[in-house]
Amino acid sequence: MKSKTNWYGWSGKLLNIDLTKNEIRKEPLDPEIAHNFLGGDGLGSKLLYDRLKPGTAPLDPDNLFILSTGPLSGTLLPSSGRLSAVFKSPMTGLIGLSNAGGYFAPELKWAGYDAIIISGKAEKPVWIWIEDDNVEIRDATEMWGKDTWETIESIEKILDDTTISTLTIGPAGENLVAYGLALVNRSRGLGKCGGGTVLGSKNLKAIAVRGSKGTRIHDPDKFEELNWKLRENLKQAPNYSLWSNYGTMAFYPILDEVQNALPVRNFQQGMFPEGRKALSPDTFMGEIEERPNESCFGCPLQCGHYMRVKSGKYAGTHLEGIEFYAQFVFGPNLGVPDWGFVIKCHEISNKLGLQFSVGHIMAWAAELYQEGILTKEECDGLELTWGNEEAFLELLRKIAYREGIGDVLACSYEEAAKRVGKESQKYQPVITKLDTSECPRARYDVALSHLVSNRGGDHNKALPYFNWMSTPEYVNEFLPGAPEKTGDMYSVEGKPELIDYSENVHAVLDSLPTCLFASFTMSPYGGGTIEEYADVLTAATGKQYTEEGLLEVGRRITVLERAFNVREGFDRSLYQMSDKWYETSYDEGAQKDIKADKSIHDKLVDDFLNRKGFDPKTGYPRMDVLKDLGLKDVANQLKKMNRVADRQNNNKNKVDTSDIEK
Amino acid sequence: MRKMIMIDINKCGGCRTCEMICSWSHDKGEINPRRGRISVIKKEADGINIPFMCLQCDDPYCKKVCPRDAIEIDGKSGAKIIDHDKCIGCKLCLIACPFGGIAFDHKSSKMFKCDLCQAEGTPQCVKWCPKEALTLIDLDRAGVIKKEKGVQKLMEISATNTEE
Repeated sequence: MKSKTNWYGWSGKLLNIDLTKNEIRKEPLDPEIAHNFLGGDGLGSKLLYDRLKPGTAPLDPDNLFILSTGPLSGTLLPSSGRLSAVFKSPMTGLIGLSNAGGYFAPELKWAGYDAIIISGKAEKPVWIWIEDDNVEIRDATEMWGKDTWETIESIEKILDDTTISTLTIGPAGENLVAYGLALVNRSRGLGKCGGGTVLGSKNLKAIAVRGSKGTRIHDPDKFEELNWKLRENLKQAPNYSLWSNYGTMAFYPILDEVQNALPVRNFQQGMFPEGRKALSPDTFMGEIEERPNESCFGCPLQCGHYMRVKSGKYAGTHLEGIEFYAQFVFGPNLGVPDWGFVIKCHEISNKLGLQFSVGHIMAWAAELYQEGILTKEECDGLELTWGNEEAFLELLRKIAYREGIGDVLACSYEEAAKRVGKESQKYQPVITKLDTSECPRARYDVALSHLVSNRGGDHNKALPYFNWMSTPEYVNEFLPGAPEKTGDMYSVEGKPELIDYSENVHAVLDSLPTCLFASFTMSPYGGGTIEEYADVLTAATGKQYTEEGLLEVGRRITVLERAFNVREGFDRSLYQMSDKWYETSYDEGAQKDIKADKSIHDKLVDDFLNRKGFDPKTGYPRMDVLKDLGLKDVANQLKKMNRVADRQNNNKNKVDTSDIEK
Repeated sequence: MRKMIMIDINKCGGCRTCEMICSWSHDKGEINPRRGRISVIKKEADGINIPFMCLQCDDPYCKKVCPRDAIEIDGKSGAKIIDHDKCIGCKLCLIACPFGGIAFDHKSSKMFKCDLCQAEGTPQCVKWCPKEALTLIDLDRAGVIKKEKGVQKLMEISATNTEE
């Protein structure tokens, strides 16, 4: 019986693909789920929670790989091209929440699907072709072993179509490197958490999609008017030119010259004088061929660059980029002040299908080498000295193919440290299972957001980027009543409240979906407000959303994600960072001699968990909070597992800042 | 005053907002870039994005081959506009056009093409393009406008050379 729901925004259909049984099954989207979780991360997390058997191992065929779009995917909303992937992560064991820009999500939406749920494992390598109602599982034996770009070319040739959108894995995903990338078209990535690895474990080489159906909008005039305004506001934002021209490269000078906390040689130093000019955004522009900027779907910001290196050792290297992450991990972090090298590493990573954590991992290995913990022999003759470009390029390849030392470094941080032994984990730049690109020693916004991030420590799920933009006073506009120094990244004040709020906002933005960079990061000067997004959502879907209601959706999503981690065996002890941050500090600069303080971090996490509705002692969610959010099934399931907190811990564990010396 | 949409490929980032707004303004309530009369041709590996649509030929093949004489010329703007009441969707115009400027719309089962938004005011793609890669200009002035840009470029290059 076909669902009679008249859908606006959402397509109203889910696509299930079982690779073990070689079966394709379509089902209607439950309107309750759609309305309460939106799309993107929200929809994906809900589907994963409900449909993944508790305790499933990440590389087990029973793990699910969910690709989700949102009600605003592929519409006039600024930068509505983002794609979410949700799965159990082989890199962390936590919920894997991956996010990519580009054009795949709109294409999937126009093919008529809100999400794809992939389960099982194919007997032989396969790829999936989706063209509107037609879905085929095809043989990929010929493609297995090829790099991502070669795979895309093969598919384009087979289909005789270059207007498709693709998702591909390279040798790294095939070889089950823990942080395997799933490349979206030729230049965007489902990076963090190892989504490419899950696909590799399923023998799924690629997915290609093309859609010809449209997206219906409930209130067209209002929708058009609201999005025109959002776009105009964005273009008039004071930072529009800077963000548009340089993308997140704009962060480099701030971290290097202002904060003196750039990841240099595995965070041993915070400044990189050799790279100050050599790795500046202006030098970047001079070293690549002059081109107009590149863009994700429907984005007014257009912060991408087609990079074709003009001269030097790496002349001719070409692909689209670039983000600060690649710039940081392949440049100062490896001690190489050269854009050509950074772009080369970027290219190799994209084509072999390695997520950029590889840069951090190589830097960790280099510090171990520096300390004599890893010897030249153990590194198969490679000299992992800072700035040794050839060695690092060879190491990238070895990791993708799991050769020698590459096999060790292809593991998760925990596993790699176990194999190396000798307390090597103390050198890892890790916070809650993932690497950070921002130093948490002096910054409490970084420390707390990374500690409690549901997908593991990183900057994209809870770190409020408007800190970059705004004076601290503006934070109080978003959080009336918050302590005075809440917006001061070096102050402990108000951080639990700020990160709690920020996490909810990120969940909303990742579920509409829209791009953080073109929205929250611009805030409060030009990025959309939650109220504006609520209005757009209402106009698109016909379902009433308010600012308050939308933030509640965000809260629901973040609580569900955290509850998933609890269900899968994690508790309060999950939230910790490497001893590196507590035992070492910079020798010079604005953050000289500052080490992180565990007792403060513990208090911050306790306070945050309390606010989120989780017991600070166990890390378990409170029954009443789950029920209040409409997550009764979750509450009952966790209760049976003895992983809930029944009553509120009256000890608020508020952070007492009176004894903290600044 | 006859008009044309000038395409500046040095500004197009390939975002496809033009495709969206084109499909939208001709059939409000639905967004479907494949039903836009403008398409961005992308060569991803080479970093090329070119928005392309009917160039409003002066002596159009589409009009010549149409068995129903369904293609009219707007006197003021010079836009070639399909009368959809007459169009039978035979696709002879699609075959005849050398540029793919006219295509078949699967929803209406008629041909469709850029009509400079019914020759009324600013075309929507021009209005919504975030980077002004599309501009509506007077055909009579088009040559001089481009010469101005060309000279500007030469002056920039020679200034750089002088500095060196």
